[in-house]
Amino acid sequence: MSALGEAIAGEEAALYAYGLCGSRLFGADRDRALGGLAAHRARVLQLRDLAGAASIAGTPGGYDIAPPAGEAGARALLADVESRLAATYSDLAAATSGDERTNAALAACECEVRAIGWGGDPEAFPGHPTD
Amino acid sequence: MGNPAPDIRVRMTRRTALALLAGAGLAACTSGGDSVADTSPTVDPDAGTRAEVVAQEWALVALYDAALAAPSGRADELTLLREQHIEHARALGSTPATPTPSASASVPPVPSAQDLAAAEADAARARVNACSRAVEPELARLLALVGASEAGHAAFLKAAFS
Repeated sequence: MSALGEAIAGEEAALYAYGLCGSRLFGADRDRALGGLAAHRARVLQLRDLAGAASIAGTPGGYDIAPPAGEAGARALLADVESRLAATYSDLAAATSGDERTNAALAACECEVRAIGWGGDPEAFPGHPTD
Repeated sequence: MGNPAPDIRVRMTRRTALALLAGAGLAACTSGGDSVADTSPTVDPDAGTRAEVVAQEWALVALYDAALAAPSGRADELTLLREQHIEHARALGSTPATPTPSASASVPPVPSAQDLAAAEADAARARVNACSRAVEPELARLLALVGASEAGHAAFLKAAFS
């Protein structure tokens, strides 16, 4: 799959994860989840626009992700999804140039900021565990 | 900056970046290009970008050193963030700068968590700019990752120290 296809697939997976986790979060976390959901919706529209008529696989019906057990599990799953998506956007930055690359690098930053917001540990290379 | 200029070896830089990417499960080929680099070290169109980012990474390490010199209940967190900047510099091909006594005169006053967060946010913006300028796609990928890491650092500092 192309880097753009991978980014679209990653965004679709993030939307799915937010849907899965949102109902398990409350208060400020619920607001944070709604903010993340809106950001990912905007990004996936942007990416699909970029892909244009190129053949990009449609949204899968589901994912092999176990529903998170409780709030802590939901936060951990979203931190993981965001951190992995930051790495996917870094791949897209490598595959693009100009404004598209700048957008991809900015999206990687935004994903990692959300990962930290969900309680993820700071990483030297987001989505690439060192050991 | 309080640090002496770290040495930057162009070929090590490429190798290290490629090794990182290979470790991330991406195909990387190092078989070509070595003989070219041997005879003309200026062939790397990204040398200036790399040198600039490496210098900024060591400046961040020095900033954390200054913060860690003051007693803090959060030394573990600050040490973790500091070490990640060393990882960034190494991935870009730099080796740790040796601290020299003469550098102590230019050590900044103890930076606050807000100062560190602001420096990290500036660094993340600079990485995005450097990523846009990178000629080699592998360098663009690395700079995007480093920028994301630093944006995360800024968010972590704001949350943990507010």
